[in-house]
Amino acid sequence: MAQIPNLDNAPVNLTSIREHSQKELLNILKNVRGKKCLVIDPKLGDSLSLIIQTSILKEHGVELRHLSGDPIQTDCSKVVYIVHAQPKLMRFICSNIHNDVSKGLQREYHVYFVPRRTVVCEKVLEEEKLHNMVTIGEYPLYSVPMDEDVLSFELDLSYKECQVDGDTSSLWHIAKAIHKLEFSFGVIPNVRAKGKASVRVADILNRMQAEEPVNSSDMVVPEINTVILLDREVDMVTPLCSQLTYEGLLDEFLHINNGSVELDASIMGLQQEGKKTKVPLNSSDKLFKEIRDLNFEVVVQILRQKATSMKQDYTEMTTTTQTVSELKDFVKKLNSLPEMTRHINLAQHLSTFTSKPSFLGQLDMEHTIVEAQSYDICFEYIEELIHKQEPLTTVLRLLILFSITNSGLPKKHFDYFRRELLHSYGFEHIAMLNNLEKAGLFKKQESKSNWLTIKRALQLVVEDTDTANPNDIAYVFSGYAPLSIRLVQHAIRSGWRPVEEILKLLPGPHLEMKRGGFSNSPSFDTLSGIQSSIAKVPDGRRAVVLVVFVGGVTFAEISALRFLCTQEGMAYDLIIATTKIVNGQTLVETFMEKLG
Amino acid sequence: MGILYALVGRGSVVLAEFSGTTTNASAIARQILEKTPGNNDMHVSYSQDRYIFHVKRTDGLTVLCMADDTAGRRIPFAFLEDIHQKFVRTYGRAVHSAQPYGMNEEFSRILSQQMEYYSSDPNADRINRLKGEMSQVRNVMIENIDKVLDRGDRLELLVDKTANMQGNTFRFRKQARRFRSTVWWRNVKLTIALIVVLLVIVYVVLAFVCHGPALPSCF
Repeated sequence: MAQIPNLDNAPVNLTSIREHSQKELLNILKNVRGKKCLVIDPKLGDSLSLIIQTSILKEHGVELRHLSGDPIQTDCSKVVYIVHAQPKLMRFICSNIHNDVSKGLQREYHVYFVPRRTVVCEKVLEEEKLHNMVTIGEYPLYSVPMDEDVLSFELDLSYKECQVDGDTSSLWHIAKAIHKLEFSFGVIPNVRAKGKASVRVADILNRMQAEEPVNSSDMVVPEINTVILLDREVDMVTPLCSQLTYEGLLDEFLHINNGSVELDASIMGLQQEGKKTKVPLNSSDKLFKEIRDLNFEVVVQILRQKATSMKQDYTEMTTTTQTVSELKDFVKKLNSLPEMTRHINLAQHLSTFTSKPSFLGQLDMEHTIVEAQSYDICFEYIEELIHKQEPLTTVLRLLILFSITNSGLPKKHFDYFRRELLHSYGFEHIAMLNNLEKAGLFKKQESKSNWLTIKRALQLVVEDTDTANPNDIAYVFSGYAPLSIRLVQHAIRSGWRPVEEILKLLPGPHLEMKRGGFSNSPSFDTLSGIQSSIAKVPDGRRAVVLVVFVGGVTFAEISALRFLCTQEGMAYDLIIATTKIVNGQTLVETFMEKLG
Repeated sequence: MGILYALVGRGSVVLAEFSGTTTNASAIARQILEKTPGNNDMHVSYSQDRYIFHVKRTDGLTVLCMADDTAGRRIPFAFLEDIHQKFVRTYGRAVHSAQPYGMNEEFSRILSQQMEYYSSDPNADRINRLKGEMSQVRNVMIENIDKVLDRGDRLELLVDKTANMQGNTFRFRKQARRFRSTVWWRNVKLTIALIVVLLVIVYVVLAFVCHGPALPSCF
């Protein structure tokens, strides 16, 4: 399992959040006496590995199993299921129990739903006549700390659910998670939201405050000064572009999952053929913390400098007489050798991808599409990719990007691409195309595109980005500044009033309000109000802004936000909360259906 | 064996001496005193067979000792410094007016004690021992470092890997621009080729219609 991230340097006390989740889990296990078998939804298992170590579970007499349709292999007479509240998982549980009954096994069953039980799941148990045999409970795990400044709600499909299925239950989950943060850190006085889902989350949050108020009189100053809610829908351009930060590239090509990446041992220089190895990637790794947010161009240079410097020190050590204290200093430097080896191996592996002409070509097309130049060249390039039968997700990323920046495609081109896609990749993808159209990602053009206006007003395309010493967030894409982070920049510095005209051009409504004394009464910030809201918390730390992405965030966006925190004159620390950390590929995949 | 004989003198006058063995050290010492006249400070050693005479003169007072050649120089001179300090501290200005052997009766005992101390006490060579230990520690550290780094091979490998990556270094944006111009040129070539084909077709048709390759009927 992945290494639990070190949260000691977090802007707010995230450690207490994790410890609380640990405590609740251990309480669930203690309520079941004796030895027990813990059966976990595999997806949930990854999240729990960021909450608690396996060794602690074993100390409590717990055997671990993954939930599947196969019968449970264990001697324990007590079985505890911890699962997401999904009907499909309920059928697995019912299948397990029926298997046990048919074998004459007498077992005690407990089912805990994350984060809460639903009527649908209980109905499944009733239909299978197992309701009497099962004790039902809830495990309210609403957010998981991924790193010092990143929280995840672990809602993989919320974007598709909202956009295509019309299922907005995940919005309640998001609001609940924020509300729990408020219990720990105080009522958040300033709320800004952009996007249909985000505005709804803000409304739900207000209702929660009315129903179950946080006692604001207990708090001197709330630790979180502002919450900014952004829909993924507001900015679909950014996740579809190829990320160029080190961590972003790792996610693009090697798929970071819950703070670690899994790959062949041979890539990491180990001599175990055919075996997989897991590499933890979080702030506990000092070298990774230093290079994760840098443009990959720069990472290669830095790794080379470090390796060369260490080699020079070694040569110097063996050729000249050095004192013991100098040798001791060198040995201290050697402690970073495993980290350096690991990242040099990873970077070398990444560079095999990034030096391919197809990757560079794709990069060029993304920039061309974003700059809204040469419509014909983009059209022909995508057409060529379809004819070559390049990976479907690659084609779709460019196609969706193309459609969004042009506010849809002319009917002739739209129909043409649909036909070509179905001919090239198979008719079974028509459901996917339908989902994309419903979500507004690949659609017919109905109005003139606003992208050029947005691009110019927010300065999204930055020429001559200096990737080594960047002065703008555009370095994360080597020239394109993420739209979502530009909105955060404006929200923090001057509020959204100066860019209100541009906000209206983006999908969905927007909202600015103050809470506490002005609860439920929307009002726009005045300039003096903004100035007065920049308050230092008592212990001298900067005030905290919580940025919530509804529908997912990419590592490049996280890097851009961290970059903002390091700038001169920045008055806030930033914490990022998201339904899931995504990239273009995983985002597109959520719209694909498995037919048959 | 260490230090075998010691003497304190002023000019060529012996004030005190002590001999640990029956040798001719005393006679040789007197010769050395006579051969080194004057009051200037000095710091010298003379060898005689297997023994070495170390001489130190400060402020007109001469301290001399004979030592085994295995004793080195550091310990005998530390001894001389020590004796000089003790002598001056004990007798002060009386040194300059004393009679020959005037202090011998009581100071020879001190000479004897210090000779024994500097000859046999292992602590006298504390620094040398520390240096030896430090040297061992240093060698062990270097050995450990060599093992960890496989004698530099691991570092060499890392540097090579980063050099390879450096060879692949590119600016994403610059590369992207070049690719864009490539696509543009490909389109241009395609257009030109299309035009040429079109012209050829037109020419063939005209040639057919005008009854000959030179198009005679049309001009």
